[in-house]
Amino acid sequence: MTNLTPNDFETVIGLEVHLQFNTRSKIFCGCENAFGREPNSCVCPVCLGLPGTLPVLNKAALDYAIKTALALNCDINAFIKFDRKNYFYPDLPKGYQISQFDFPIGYNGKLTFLSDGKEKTLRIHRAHLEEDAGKLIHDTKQKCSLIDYNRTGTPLMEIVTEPDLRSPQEAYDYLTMLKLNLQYLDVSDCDMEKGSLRCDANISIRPKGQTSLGTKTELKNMNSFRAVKAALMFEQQRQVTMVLAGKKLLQETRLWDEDKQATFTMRTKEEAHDYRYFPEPDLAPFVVSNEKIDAVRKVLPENPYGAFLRLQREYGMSAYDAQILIQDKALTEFFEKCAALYNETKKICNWINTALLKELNERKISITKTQIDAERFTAVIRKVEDGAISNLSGKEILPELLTSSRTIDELVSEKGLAQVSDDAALEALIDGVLKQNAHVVEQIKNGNQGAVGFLIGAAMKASQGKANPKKAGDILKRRLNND
Amino acid sequence: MVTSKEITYISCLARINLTQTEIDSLSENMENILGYIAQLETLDVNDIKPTSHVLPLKNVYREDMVTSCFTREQAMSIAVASLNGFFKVPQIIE
Amino acid sequence: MTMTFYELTAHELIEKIHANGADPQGILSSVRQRIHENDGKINAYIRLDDDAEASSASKFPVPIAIKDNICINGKEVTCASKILKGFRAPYDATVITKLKAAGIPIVGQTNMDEFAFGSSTENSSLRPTRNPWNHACVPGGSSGGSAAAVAADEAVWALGSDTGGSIRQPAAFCGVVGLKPTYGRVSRYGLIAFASSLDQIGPLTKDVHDSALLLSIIAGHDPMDSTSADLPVPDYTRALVNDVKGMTIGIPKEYFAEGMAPDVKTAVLAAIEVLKKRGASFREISLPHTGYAVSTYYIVATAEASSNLARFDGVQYGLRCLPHQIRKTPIVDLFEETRDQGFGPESKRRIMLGTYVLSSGYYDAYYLKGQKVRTLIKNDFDEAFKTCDAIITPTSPTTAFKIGEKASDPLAMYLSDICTISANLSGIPAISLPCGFSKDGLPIGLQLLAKPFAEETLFQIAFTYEQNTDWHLRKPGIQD
Ligand SMILES: [Mg+2]
Ligand SMILES: [Zn+2]
Repeated sequence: MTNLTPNDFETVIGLEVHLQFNTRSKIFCGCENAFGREPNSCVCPVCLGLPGTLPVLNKAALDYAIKTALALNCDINAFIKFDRKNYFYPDLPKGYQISQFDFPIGYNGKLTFLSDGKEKTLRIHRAHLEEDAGKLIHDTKQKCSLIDYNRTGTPLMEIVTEPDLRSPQEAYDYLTMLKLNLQYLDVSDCDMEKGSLRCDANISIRPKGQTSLGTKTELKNMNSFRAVKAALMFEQQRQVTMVLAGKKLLQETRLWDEDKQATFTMRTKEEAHDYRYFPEPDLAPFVVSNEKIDAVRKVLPENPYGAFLRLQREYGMSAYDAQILIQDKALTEFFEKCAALYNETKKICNWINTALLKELNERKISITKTQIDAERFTAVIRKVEDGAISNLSGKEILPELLTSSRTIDELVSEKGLAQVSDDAALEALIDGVLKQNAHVVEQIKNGNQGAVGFLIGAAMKASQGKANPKKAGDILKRRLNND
Repeated sequence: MVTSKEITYISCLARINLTQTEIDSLSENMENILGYIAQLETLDVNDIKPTSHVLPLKNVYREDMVTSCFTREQAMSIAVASLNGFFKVPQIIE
Repeated sequence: MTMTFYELTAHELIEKIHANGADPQGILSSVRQRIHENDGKINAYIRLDDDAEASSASKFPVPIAIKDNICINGKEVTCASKILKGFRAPYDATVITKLKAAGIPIVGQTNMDEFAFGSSTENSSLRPTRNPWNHACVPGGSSGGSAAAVAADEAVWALGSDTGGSIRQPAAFCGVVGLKPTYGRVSRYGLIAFASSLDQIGPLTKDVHDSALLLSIIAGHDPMDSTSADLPVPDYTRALVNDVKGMTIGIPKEYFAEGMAPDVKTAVLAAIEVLKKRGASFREISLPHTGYAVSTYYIVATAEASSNLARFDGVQYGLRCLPHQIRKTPIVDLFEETRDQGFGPESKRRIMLGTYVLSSGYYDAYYLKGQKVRTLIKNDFDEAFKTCDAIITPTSPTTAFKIGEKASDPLAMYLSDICTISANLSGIPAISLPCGFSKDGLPIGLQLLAKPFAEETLFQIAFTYEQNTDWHLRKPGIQD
């Protein structure tokens, strides 16, 4: 292997995402499913795992899971059961996690996404429902660890991919598309900082052409998609260097250190994982009928990649514009409402992707939380196109649409933004400009055509921006030529 | 034969610290019991479905509704060790 | 001779209350007095509740004893284990909620084999309970405290739990009536689990009437227990009819083969004659997989137990121990030392066995196989109930054995459950009632089994038998 170079290796990556569902109550008890509460204030005998307590499944958690699995194009198991995964850890109050072993809700799925401008389809191995554990806080000063069980029992979906990813960038792009899909479904906050979306990664390298997998490491403790990518890049580099140096890789779990931007071996557990899965006797099995699957499928929102393709196909939109629009399902829906009212779709798209997005981003607000509607928004664009108001005036009105429900005409007149297109008024305006700038007119007559722009600017200034710039320019040019 | 190595492995999974005397006697007990249980080997159960639940129940769930939970004081009243409203354990080293 | 309150049954006391011949507080005092005088010899109770009150405004103000594995809000509950010492349940089990609603005062919590692991109540971490009929003998188990309390008139009635015979076998050994309801008939919420797919709470009473009465109070669907059956609860006392004409009762030949004590066999055969005279017909049946029940049970029950008992790890509540010197890591040491010191030898044995049968490489050979044989055992009963209304067997092949006699032989102890285990594996209801005495004066139990949710059939046959015999009226003499 010593004659190989770094370019002779291929990277193989698989990801495991844990997703918290935003149901009202927890998965097996009626405690509120809330984030950021006082420690141990959202707990009850059931989620504390007290002796004698029993789980009862939250129907919404199952529905969300079926919805998510379908969105990931999974086959749905008609027979679903829960199993106990047995291990000891202080954040796990019962000494086992209620999870799914051999009959996960979904399996055999796939997700298409764009990476480096190319379409890529990743296979989803399985998606199953389970309960989240509590949260541990390590207090180094007091030499103890503290446990908050509020998170215990949050519905969690584990989404495991096949090892189909070939680069850290692809992993990043998949995660981005996955998150977008989940946001379209409205089943989770998908906030990695809050821990509502968590991602572990498996990575190995192998010489190009080899079909068997190399020794993999499992990466944990990444708190953002960017960190996932950075950890994978670090690990890819480390593995290549090791192999080229003739060293043997260990199958191990490594933790990402954000400060040091490096991965480190996790203290290895002294025994192998032997989770002793067996069917959860406290929960009856679940049967998912075809009717149920069809019903959920029917109300499934369009997936973001499908929207991306359709926007280009139906509206002749560029991939670039479509890509921006689909980042927000509400924005895509807004665009389509506008397009139904006004056929200048390219112009609508420009207005949304530049002016409107700028306003929304500045306010850090979703379009659904504003007063804007497609009727008034397209009316503004129409007025600009018709020359009734200037482009600049249109942009001045835009913020008003977000916060008020007043009509465009009201806004235009209130702000005095109506454009002057009246011929007589414009002739008078140009008269004045020509008189005040006789020396410039002289220069133009001497061949300095560039000075025409200066005169148009002067006309706009004199009209406080209300002059129709195109008409004013035409009159100016005619007068210069005639005089 | 249940070796003492196996007993040690199982006790590790079950998180019970055992003395050598306990390991020896458990090894003998389990040997006897598993020896008796070996009678099941004579049964052919290839085509038999396993029973996890004796009742034919299915699709038992509750609606997604929030019910009242413990106050922090109630939750902490059971704690064997606590600090500032948290359950407390010796420091976990990862 | 007039009987003192504590000697009476619940239905007799309720009648007296209604006839203004007794006041509930007086009944409670009488039972407390009896406990005070007698329990030093029997050790039926782990702890008493001196605060419990009885009100004449309530429907059934007759004192009850509760096995120490059922949670009562604010009360310590330990399963007779060191590992739960000091743990006060912060909630009521569903059966406790129902008892409280019926106004039934709880006098105390009774001794048991640690975590219900055993058939003799010798595995209690505190002290063994003694059989009221012979203090040198065990009361059976694991609900030995509840059975002994009822037999010794230290409680009018009691609740126990039955995973492999833990209500019926001590009922037989102590000469009282014990019922294991159909799986799912009574909510398990608040019962500290031994084996979740087998456990049921049930009554231990002085006669069949009280058993029917108490089941009517505690049975029913519970939204907190996903495995509880959503079926209406009949008034079981309406099944108390002195008539078995037209009923067919099966005699499974496998239960009458070998290993049965001659006194037990004689008593059960005599019981069959009593029922025949009342019009029941009997037929020999076969439950061919009976011989595999103990093996199957000890796989399924220990596997579930090993998982159910994982929560006792010293992290949240109960006992916490740390070794003097660090062995692995502080947290692993905490788990391992707490569980080493907190669990008794039988608990360790079952946790180890259960962990073993679930561990990597053994699952298919043990747990999966056990679940498949469970299907066969269940099928045997389904087949039998096509031709029978009920099945009759002894509750235990022997009468109560001596304290210490089987303590050193776990397998022999396990095999003593041979008659009761199959009902749990197949989820069917079964009742044990007194049907005679051995030559040395120990009670013998008769077991009746019926199809799922046919508790009424059991009550009807048991009541008819009881009406035509007087075994249930005998009481153990006062011993020193
Ligand atoms: Mg998981
Ligand atoms: Zn809860």
